[in-house]
Amino acid sequence: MKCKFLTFLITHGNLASSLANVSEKLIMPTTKLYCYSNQRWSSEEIEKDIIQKIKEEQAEKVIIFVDLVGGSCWIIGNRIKHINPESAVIGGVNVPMLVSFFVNCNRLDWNELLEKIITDAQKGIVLR
Amino acid sequence: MEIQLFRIDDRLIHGQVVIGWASHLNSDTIILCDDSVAENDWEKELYLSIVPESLAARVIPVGELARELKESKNNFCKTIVLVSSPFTVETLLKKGVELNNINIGGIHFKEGRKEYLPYLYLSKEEVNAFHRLMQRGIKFFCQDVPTAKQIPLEKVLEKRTA
Repeated sequence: MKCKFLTFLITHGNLASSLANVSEKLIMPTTKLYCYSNQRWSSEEIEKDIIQKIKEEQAEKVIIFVDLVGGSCWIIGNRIKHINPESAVIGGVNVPMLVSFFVNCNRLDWNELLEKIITDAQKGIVLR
Repeated sequence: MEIQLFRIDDRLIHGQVVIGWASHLNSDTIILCDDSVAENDWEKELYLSIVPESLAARVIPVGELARELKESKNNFCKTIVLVSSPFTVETLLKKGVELNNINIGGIHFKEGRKEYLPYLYLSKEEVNAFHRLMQRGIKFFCQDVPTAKQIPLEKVLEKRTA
């Protein structure tokens, strides 16, 4: 992407930082991923902090990865998207999704990137 | 009026409620009682969109819940009622509702709140509100998910003060 973008990962427990650590070991991160756990912080505080970062950094596009569609992290993501419509909320985050994001974020356009990381995340779920 | 689960949870409808409690209790309805959510169509829609099809769900203001509970027309024995704070409980009592047993599922950290449990952070005003409610005979038990241990609120508050 040529525009300025920010990326956030909001999950239950310590999943956000663990997922980020694993993904960043597999591939050198090309952009910062801000991690949030909903364990301690209220949804209101997480939302406030992310909105502030978006304003400070003057991000044109925002990607918010969350673990569980329908969980409190999903609600936070959707509230942020409501305030900042140039955001995409992606539920069901997994390692292939984050790896794909790091590989492709500076290579593809916004829509292509979103489609690619969703496809790669789904490809990473296999039943044999 | 018997309610299956009356829960204080600042996250209102979320995974712990729809996956955890509703499955565990075999509930058929969730009522989210909150004035600010009830008056915001977008937010109301967001909360209702995450409820599985197996459950009926409604978002109603505090006054409406008070009216329904006093009229006793509906049966709440398979219903989970969610509010976000003890102040809503106080409002319901002022409106003449009787409540006996309340689950505290989560009030999370923000500035001005102290930690009581990993999922329970309270401000002075909230602690005072809980004390007032307990003096009126309401029993509170802290339990975020069905598999967790129930802890009486008075023990949690005593331990933090000691």
